[in-house]
Amino acid sequence: MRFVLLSCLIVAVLGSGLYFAKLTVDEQYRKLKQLELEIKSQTEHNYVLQAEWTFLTRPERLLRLSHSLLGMNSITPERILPISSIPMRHSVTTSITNADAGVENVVY
Amino acid sequence: MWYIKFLNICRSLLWPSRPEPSKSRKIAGYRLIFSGFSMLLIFTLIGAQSIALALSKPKTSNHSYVTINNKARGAILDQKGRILASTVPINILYADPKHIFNPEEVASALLPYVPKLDKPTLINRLTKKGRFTELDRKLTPKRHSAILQLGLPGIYVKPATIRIYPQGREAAHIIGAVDRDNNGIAGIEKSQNETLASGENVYLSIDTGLQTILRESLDTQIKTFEALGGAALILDVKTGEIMAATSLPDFDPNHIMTSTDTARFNQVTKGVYEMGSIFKVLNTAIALETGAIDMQATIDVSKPIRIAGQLIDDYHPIKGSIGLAEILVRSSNIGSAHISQLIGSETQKNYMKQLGLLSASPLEIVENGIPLVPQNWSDITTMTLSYGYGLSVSMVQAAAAIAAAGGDGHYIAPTLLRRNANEQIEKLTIFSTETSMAVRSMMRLVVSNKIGTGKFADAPGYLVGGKTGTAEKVENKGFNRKANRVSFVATFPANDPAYLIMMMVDEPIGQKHSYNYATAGWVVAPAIKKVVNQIAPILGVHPVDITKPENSQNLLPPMMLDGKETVYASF
Repeated sequence: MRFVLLSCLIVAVLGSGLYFAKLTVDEQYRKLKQLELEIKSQTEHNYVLQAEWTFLTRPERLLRLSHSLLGMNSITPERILPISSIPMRHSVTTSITNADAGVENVVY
Repeated sequence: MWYIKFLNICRSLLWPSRPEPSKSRKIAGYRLIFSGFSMLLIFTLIGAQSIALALSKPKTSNHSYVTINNKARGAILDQKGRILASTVPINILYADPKHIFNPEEVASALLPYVPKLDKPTLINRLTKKGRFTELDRKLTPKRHSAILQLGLPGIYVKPATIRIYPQGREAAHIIGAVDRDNNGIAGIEKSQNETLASGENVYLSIDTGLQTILRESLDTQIKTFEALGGAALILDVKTGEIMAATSLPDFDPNHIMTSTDTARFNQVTKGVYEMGSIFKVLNTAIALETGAIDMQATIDVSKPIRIAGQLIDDYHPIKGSIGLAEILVRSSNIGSAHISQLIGSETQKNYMKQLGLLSASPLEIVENGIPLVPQNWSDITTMTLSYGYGLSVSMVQAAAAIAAAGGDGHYIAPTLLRRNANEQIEKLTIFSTETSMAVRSMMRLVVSNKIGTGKFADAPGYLVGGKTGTAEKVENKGFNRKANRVSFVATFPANDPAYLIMMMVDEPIGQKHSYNYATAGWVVAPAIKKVVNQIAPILGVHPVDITKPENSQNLLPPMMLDGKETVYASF
């Protein structure tokens, strides 16, 4: 008799456990679907925003606006120089004294 | 009664009375049978459920009203990842006429929110047979909300997607378009339909920034010279990537159905034309490569050539004999025809074949022109072909061939798809280093020398080299001398060509400021200069100091031209 009752109890516990596990899985599945929907929705929003950004930053528009509002034009070749043509300071000597002197002379 | 006996047995199982020792064994037997059956039943149920679950298909969502399995069509992006075509969600407003009991009333309520329909059309749609009638394809969120507020029975909103082209007309011919069901019907949308439909993105070799500059410059020239239209492209000489391609008039792919057939025609890849004098670059390169003529030889160009009833003469007659460089710089048809005779028909045909001019290019687009090749490659064909008549090819084909001759001698098949960083580019060596050096030096002279036909293309610092071309259009089985298609092909920087620009303007009309000239030198060359000035800083091409040995050694040394010493790469 004890064996029968014990078995029934075990079955009841297992059944309840299974039922709760099923409920939890259902809940998790619902959450997963919710997240998937959210991802899809956000991705779609992202597509729209990217498209809007592309539309607003299209080169034709930027060209027109930069010219009319900022008076900007293409860079002329005279303004493009090789790095060697930029006058540099004399090469810094390795002497610590000279280096310190240099620092002292800097005007902030 | 048997059931009373059964209930007694059940009661005795649940609340057993202390059994008599003689009955004890019998009761124990019943209990055992009952427990055994109960266990069997439970485990059978659990087992059956387990098998049913194992065999069942994945459960589809009962909670969602939007299906998740449909993959959005992939985007088309330019070389730098800017969107050229994308898919965005929209809402379709539709009606189920079976659920509408008073169409008149529903139409009155709905009318302010469907601006594209008038009341009779709306009523007509609401009373249509069937269960679905579309009312608006692009419902804005504001109208969507307002329609939901009306709470009209039989009026529904369905989520869907739409293809959009945020760059508008830029590269419209290359991108193409899709139909209502998002299937590609033109351009890359059609040729790459399978890839895009699977949700993958496609990267093009097109750079939208360069595309805008090229289109704007061409458009300005077309308007200034009251031309019918035009086309232009920028090619990366080192990789064969087409970085910009424009054909005008063009269309807005967002509203392709409202465009004309002329606007939808792609003149860069589909149209095949006789290219005119720009073919002289190829003629010169072939002559040097085959040894038919050298740089020092001269040819008498004073007399026009009469052959098979046709007259070959020059636009500006030249007296006496001139060298190879001067023939190209002055664009002499007579000189080119003489050179072609030295090359020979068979050799010329072979080179044209190697340069991909006798068959359609392997371009990744459905609008790909097939060249019109002369059936009988006679002497007269060889002569006219030397200055660009008798063979019709697409602009892309001509550009790729000239990139080989005026670049570093390699032919690279042009592509509209972005190359991968480590991609092995297939190169076909056609011209030697010496030949290509001579050709690019001469192309530079066309622009830099005062007798050159392309002086207006000289963008200081960028060493532009080029060749003009003016081709008469075919009309009534002959040529119309007044209807020209003018073109210009340019490479820069001439010491190490990295980019090629080709532009064509259809039937320009001479203007006061051009002294009524409508030649390539007046119409296209200034636009090339403008384009080079704008795109060179973007492409990282720095102004070239030709006095530096590392730059000057890539061009020929000074030589005599027009009786004077000429520096090839002079600023």
